[in-house]
Amino acid sequence: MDPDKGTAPGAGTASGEGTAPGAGVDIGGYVSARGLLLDRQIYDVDGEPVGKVDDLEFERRPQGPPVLSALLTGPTAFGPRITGRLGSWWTAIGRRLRPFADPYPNRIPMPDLVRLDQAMLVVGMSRDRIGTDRLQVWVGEHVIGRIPGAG
Amino acid sequence: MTGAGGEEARRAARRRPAPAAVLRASDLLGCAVYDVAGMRVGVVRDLRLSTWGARRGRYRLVGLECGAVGLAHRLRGAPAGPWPLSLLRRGRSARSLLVAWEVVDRIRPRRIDLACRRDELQPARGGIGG
Repeated sequence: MDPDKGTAPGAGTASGEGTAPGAGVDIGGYVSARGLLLDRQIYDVDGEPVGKVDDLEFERRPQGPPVLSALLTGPTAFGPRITGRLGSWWTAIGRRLRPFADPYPNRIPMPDLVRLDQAMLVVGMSRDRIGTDRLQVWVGEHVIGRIPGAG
Repeated sequence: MTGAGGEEARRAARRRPAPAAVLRASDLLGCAVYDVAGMRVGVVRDLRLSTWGARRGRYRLVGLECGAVGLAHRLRGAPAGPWPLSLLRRGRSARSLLVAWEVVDRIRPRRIDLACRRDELQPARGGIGG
């Protein structure tokens, strides 16, 4: 078994029940990550936009294929998808703007999704709990709020 | 899944996995794929997922779609457009190959090595279970 891969070749099978969330997504009973998830808008429980799906997090298992564990949003998630220098810059800017030392992107665990289909992607909590609008809140408090006459 | 056991399982699923156990889509998309003989198969354009388990919304990664033109893959779900575009889309994405997760041998930065030969791969249309 190759440690870089984390799964032995031949381990597990590609069996699954299959799903058909919508046209353009279903491929022979399976789904396309680009069609169903990547770059889709995520809404919170109140219908407010939370962000877009910029990357996917899979958890490697000792046996069988990796399992989709979370949706990742934000510049530190999108940066690695843009290859080359632009991607590195994008990630670095996102890291600088994060209020935490941990550069790991905003993470929406799969169990928190209440709706996932071709029409909509809804997470079962409010936007402020997810924390994807931290930059907007920070700019509001520290920049916009200090402009005379604001708020 | 219901009850205390179900809630515990959901809490465990919410926890961030250890970094060594994490694989991101960006680690795979755009990687060049080479077969066991070192022949280039293509570039990973899309990931193929299948549902599993009793709960809804659980997906696992079962394959990688490798092809030459990324645009054709990106437009696959789009509504029908002008005929030259549809022709390009159909033609290029039809030539894509599907790499089952079981034959992925090694994942390195920007490169994936397979444990099989290129001519053993199936076309992406149909492919695993299709």
